[in-house]
Amino acid sequence: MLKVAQAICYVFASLVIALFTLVLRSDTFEPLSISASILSQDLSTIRIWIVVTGLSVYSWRAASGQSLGLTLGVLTVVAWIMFFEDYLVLDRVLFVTQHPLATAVQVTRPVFLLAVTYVTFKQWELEAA
Amino acid sequence: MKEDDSSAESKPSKEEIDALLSDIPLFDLKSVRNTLYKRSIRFRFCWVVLMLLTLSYVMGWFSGALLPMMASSFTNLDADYQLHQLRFLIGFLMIAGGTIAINFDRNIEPVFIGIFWVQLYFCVSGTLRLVRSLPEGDAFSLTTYTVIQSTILVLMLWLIVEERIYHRNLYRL
Repeated sequence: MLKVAQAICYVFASLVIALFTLVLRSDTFEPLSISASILSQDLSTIRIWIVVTGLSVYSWRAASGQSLGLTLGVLTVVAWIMFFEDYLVLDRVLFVTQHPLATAVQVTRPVFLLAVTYVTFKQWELEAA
Repeated sequence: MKEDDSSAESKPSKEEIDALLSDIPLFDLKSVRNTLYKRSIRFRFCWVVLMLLTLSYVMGWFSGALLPMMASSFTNLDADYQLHQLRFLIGFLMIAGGTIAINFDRNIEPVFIGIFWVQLYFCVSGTLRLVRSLPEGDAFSLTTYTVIQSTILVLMLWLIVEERIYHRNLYRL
């Protein structure tokens, strides 16, 4: 179960990196205004960096056998906050679900959030034992 | 039948349970104060300054003094205003989380590390948003925002370092 949840997290991270790269490079995504477009681009840039950095730190710590509980905790909290920001505030500004990649990200996001939360709690349980 | 009688005898009465629970402080200011007094003076200083900053932020928000400095004032985008409201709420939830950790004197360092990273995300995305939306030559809003955010981040970092030092000294003893 833990391996499946970890696999879901990796797949989602790959999808997000691909989508955000597309948002930054493509002109097919059309937000409501120029200001919204800048907001979309800025948040996409920051989030790419968060996902890439989070993934790198997690992989590095996992590979070197260091404690993962705190790293996963921080990443889970940030993931939930970004989810709330997107769905409560930015939904009308940013996407644009016509693209298959955007649809894939939106569909898999709740599963990812459950998976990453499960992985975090499981990791805390393992480290506490 | 005999077993039932013995289990009934060993079961504490409601009055006894109430008396036991009344001794457990779930959330009273005395516990926060006790935890703070166990820490160094620098820890206490950081916490008090963070609380004062929060208080002044709330006062600034409700008096409308912050409004001209917010990104939504320059972009006229609803999303900017709503984003600020949401982050405002998350900020208070984080303060509540930090206070609960201090109250119970448990997991203070991990909780504040989590808060620090979330705050860093808010700070970086907020600064970038202001840089991109401010009219040219208006550096006051950006400077004020950056100074406040950086102060909060430095105070958080200081709290984490102080907590780490406290635990290291505790283990040495």
